[in-house]
Amino acid sequence: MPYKTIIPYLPESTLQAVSPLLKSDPAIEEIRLRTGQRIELSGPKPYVLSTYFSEQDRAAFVHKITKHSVYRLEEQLKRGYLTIEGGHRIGLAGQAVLKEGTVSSMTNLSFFNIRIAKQKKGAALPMLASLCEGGWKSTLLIGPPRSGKTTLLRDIARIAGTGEANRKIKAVKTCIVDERSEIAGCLYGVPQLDVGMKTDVLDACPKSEGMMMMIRSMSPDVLIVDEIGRPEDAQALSEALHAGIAVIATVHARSLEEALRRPVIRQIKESGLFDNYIEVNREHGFTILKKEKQAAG
Amino acid sequence: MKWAGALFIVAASLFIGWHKSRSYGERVRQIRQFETALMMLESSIAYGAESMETAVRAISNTIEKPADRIFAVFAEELSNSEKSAEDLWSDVLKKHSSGLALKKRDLQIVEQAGCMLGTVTQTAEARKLQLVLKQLEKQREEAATEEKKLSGMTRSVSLLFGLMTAILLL
Repeated sequence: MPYKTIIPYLPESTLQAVSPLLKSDPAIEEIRLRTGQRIELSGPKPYVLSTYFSEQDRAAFVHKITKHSVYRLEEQLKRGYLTIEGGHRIGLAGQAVLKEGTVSSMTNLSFFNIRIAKQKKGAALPMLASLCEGGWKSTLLIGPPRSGKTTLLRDIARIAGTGEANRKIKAVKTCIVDERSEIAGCLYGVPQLDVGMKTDVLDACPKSEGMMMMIRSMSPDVLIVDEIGRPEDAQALSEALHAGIAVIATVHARSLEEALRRPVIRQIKESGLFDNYIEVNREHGFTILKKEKQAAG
Repeated sequence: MKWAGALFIVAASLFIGWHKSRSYGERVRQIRQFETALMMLESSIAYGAESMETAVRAISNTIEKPADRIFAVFAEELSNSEKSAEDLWSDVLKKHSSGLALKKRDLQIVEQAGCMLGTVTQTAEARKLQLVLKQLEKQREEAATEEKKLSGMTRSVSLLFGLMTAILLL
């Protein structure tokens, strides 16, 4: 029951409406709550419920998710999401509060997207032979949204940090830079999902800065990072790869060809520092491209 | 029999006078309790690590009777209710203020501490609590002056009243 920890946060009327569906359909991925609109559940099979998410429900939900303590969530409000027990993420939208032209907080929260975190242990096993061939290989996972890149990354971290006795893979020092708290689902700095025994997590830290911090302070063997793409990411990645650290990262794109349209990815590819490029699709299939030549499917 | 009745009247008057005089001191003490509690709340909010419920529960365990009970009930309500902290604070004060020595105005100020509680930023929370604390300080000073002025006088007047009534009845 991955949604168990979500239940205490839902207002009574919402809970009564969504609870039977959450129980009967474990594939549900998101609960969408929009003030004044019908409750929606999305996943492989979408549901639009007859129950509306009222203004009263909105107020109750905000009190519950903030625990009557907005003052301690300023940073999360600025980022636009909260992480709750179990690693579930609640995306928020309302009225942005601007300070000197940049978003400093959010008020009048009215739209919510509860993303149910589900850990798929073993998701990365089919590609493990390429990821760990006599040591961990630097790999870039390429895939569109909802293709399971983050799930794969989490499982890779778990395998790297715990080891895999069946495949004679030993646990190594693994570091995760989890800018959006999606990989480890940290709550107050503590991972809510299994990311491995020898894994250190730097939560809610900008990727480029976080990578440099982890390289300097935690001496990782494997560095895990999600959704690279900014120019400063390339600099930090290059630093890590030159330091002999195996970097496993993801990027949003439907194919390597599409990813290479971004200058940063092109620059990284040209440097030849990544051993593998793995294209992941929405059907959770994958294609492994080893440096220049295509290898397996 | 007459003497016993007279003694009873004097004792009753003395008790009423002592009780009234004690309430002046009690008001000062209780305002100070709320000031301490709100200062603790302000510092918890400024530190930002604890939820409102945890902070309020810690306050209820630290301060003395009778304000401790109010904060304990408030913490309990915060953990269970879907209502706002402002409504909950107001409800708790209404339900549990009958035993307090505070005046209506003191209670109104204490109630103001709940305004927008838990729904605004650290800076806004601190600013609002500072304002409430300043108003409470004023009320405490006024209560202390009243205690100095009226406490002794109330005891003397009640004794005199008791004696006079007893003499008239004898």
